[in-house]
Amino acid sequence: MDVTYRILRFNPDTDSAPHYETYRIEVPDSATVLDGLQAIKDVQDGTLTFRRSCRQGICGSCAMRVNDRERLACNTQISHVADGNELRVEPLANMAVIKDLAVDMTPFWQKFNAIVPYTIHAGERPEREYLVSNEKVRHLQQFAGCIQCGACYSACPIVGSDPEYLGPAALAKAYRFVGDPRDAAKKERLGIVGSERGIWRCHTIFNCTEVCPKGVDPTYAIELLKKATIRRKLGLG
Amino acid sequence: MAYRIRYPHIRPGAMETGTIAWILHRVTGVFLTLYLITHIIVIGQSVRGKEAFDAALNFVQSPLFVFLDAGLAGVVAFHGLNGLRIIAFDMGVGIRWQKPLFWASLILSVLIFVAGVWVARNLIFV
Amino acid sequence: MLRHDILIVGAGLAGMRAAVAAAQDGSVDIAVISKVHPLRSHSGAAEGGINAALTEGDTWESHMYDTVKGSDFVGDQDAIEIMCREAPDEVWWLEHAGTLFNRTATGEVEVRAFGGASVKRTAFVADMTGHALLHTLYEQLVASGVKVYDEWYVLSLATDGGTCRGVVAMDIRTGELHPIQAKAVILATGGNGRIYSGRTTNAWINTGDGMAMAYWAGVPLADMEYVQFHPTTLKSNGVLITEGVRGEGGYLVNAQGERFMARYAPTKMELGPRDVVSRAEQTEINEGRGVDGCVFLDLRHLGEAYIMERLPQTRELAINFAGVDPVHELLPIRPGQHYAMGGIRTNLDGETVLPGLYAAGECACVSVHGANRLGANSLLDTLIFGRRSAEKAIQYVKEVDFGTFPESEVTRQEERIRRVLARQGNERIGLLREEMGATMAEKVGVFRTEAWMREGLATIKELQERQHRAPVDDKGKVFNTDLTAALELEVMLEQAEVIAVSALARTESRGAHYRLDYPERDDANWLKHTLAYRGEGGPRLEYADVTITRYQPEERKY
Repeated sequence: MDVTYRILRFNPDTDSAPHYETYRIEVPDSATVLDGLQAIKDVQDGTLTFRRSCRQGICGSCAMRVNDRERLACNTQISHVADGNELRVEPLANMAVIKDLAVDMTPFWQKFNAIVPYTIHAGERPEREYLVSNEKVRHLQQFAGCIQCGACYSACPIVGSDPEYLGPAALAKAYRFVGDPRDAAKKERLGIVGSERGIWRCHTIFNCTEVCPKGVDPTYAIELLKKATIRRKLGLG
Repeated sequence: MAYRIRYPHIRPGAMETGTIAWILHRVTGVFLTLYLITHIIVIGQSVRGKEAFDAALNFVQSPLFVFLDAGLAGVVAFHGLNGLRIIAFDMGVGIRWQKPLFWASLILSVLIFVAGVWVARNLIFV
Repeated sequence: MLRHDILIVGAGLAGMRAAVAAAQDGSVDIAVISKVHPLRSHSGAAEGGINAALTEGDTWESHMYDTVKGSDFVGDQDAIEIMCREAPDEVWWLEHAGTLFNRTATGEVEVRAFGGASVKRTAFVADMTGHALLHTLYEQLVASGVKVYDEWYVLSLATDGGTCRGVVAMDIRTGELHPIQAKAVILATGGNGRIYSGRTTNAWINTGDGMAMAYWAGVPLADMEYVQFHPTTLKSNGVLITEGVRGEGGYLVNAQGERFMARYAPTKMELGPRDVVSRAEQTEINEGRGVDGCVFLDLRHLGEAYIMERLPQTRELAINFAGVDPVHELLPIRPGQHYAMGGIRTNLDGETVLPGLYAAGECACVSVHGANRLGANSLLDTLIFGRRSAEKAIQYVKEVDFGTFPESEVTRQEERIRRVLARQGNERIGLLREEMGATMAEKVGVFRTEAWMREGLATIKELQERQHRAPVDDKGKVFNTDLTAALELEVMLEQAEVIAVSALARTESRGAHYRLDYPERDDANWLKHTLAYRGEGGPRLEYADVTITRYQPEERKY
């Protein structure tokens, strides 16, 4: 299959503004967007810069914008998304571009840290495991399955307008703890996410849910946090 | 200098259902505010005496304004229905149905607008 | 100069477990350095689970016996005993830290069946166990406040007076080289599967940097000939399909629809150890009972609901990368490189022969896996020995001072990078990498012979020369992944040679090392570890005894 990649490139050493560069390559029919990028780098242009690691959709390195939508380059087949054998590839939005397709995720990680992203226990730990129902575990696995790729963060217009907004990924992470019966800091965490930079900033646009490559559904997590906050304010739990 | 892409999903063709709902909600909100201001100005004419108020009422009873009222009904309907949609989500209800709920709100609002136009055409300006 | 008491290289499970354990002490300055953000580490791609004798009726002795037998008796039994004894507490530690293990109806941690195990012993988080553990560890790392240098590529170890004094590293964002002084360095850099590029389950980052660094510093690499081929990988890009699929009842069938494992491992069937199952598959394929170089995994009888509860990622991977929905169709699979049993030789506390240098996880060889690792023992290995290395390093750094950092090492690395950037010629880094992968898969693969391995070694030697004519297109400083790719290729070609040389010397078949010209295990001559030291013109081999405590070698049947 013959594919044309139009890649938004930017080298901070030499460029004052980003520009598109076009590459034509021959790839197998089953090739992924990442396979194509790697082929370009291997054969045509070693300066092309992008992050990648696991190439199986679990490490979260290669989120980028492919034909106007955030995707993991590694688990997106070219044939599924190419528009007349053409792909337009851009870096994630809402984050400063370091070079080509690699963006600076520092603010993203700061927000991850801001929600106190670890289990806090009260009292003695049991000798073996805490008893938790499998239904609960399965419910939380959906949110814990987030790979922190940043696709949702790029797709969210609120992150674009308010750089202080915690964003979908961090809020989904917060719900993963708030919903966990083993965690003892529910009140504190609801306090953090209940600020004006948190859940109430969300305008329920669902872009995060649309682009999430792992089916995490951050909007759902945010709505569950809103519900938990309302219930707490009303003294219902 | 580093750059960043912003608002990539607000471009035509790259908009998801939720983005359309979000933008329409804001546009209708602005529209309602403008209506409210107009409304206050018209009603406010009453303090300037009977003649002024009658003139204002005559002005807004023109066919153009009556058809605009039909539009207003549609805008109110969408803003209200979509508002209920969002409140339902905040209560943890109906999230899985966000797309059909949006389209239902939109279609209902358009129907109300069309009904308004029909009423204006067939009942008021017969 | 940047300076930390303990510097941990690599931020996968072993590295982060070491960091979290070391941070508990509170009085020691610790930092983690990794060429990727910790959450991008390849531990996250582990799928099936983690072994521990958790249930009533299971014992650590049984776990130990299975592991020893799985290792084809060349694993060190004192190390295996430690790992199996400490396993349950490690799993409880993870559970308390928040890992969302799947549960039984009564809310306890559930276990599933896995290859080579005599009972159900594998705790799991759907089929994303590695991901769940990696994120749990990262949460704990954030909680511990340990300094993390992410996207820093460590180039080499700095040694002075026969002691490790730190590392020289490149900040990938800026391209600047930095010496980092440390009293103790713990290498936790993971595997080197990309040596089998195109035929491996491993991530792009798994280039064995730590193994090469230690090797350059005079530390031996042990048992490098034992390269695990996982039985179920996808043909298109080598992605792993977890052994948990077979643990949950999936079948392996050939082109005739026959469950061929009945002829190779009649008692354990699909749940034989990985070396046995991979050889069985390759035999089926070689003898014409495969399709397009693959045999099939059959999950159809498990049903959609069960697959979605326990193997959701497997379905996603199959659809994305093979275009097959395993709920309704047979999934074509073949053996692919998965794990390095060998690595930096360490003792039970992660210490290497170089004072101040420790290693843990896949880059290390303690050895708990011997000639063949059992599924779900690797996550356990990373955690137990990551923690133990840190505990030992804590004691060590309290007794020693920083010493002198050898500035010459910085100069040497600057020179190395200058040389790589100045290369000219018409070779391509990426194409040499693929040639290396194809050569290793074909010549030093599932089945080996002296002739094949000699050919393979000759090609590797040739590639080592040719790489000097593979220019780096990107001459810039910022985020130069073309440069790191060149450095990684250099590192991999060196290790490929060690693998081939170690394998050529071992004239027997044991575990994952199977020679058609020497098909029998030979305990009289070869019940020993290979130690490869860097010598003039290639690796110099020595051998070391295997520690046998409880279980004497016996015939290995499944």
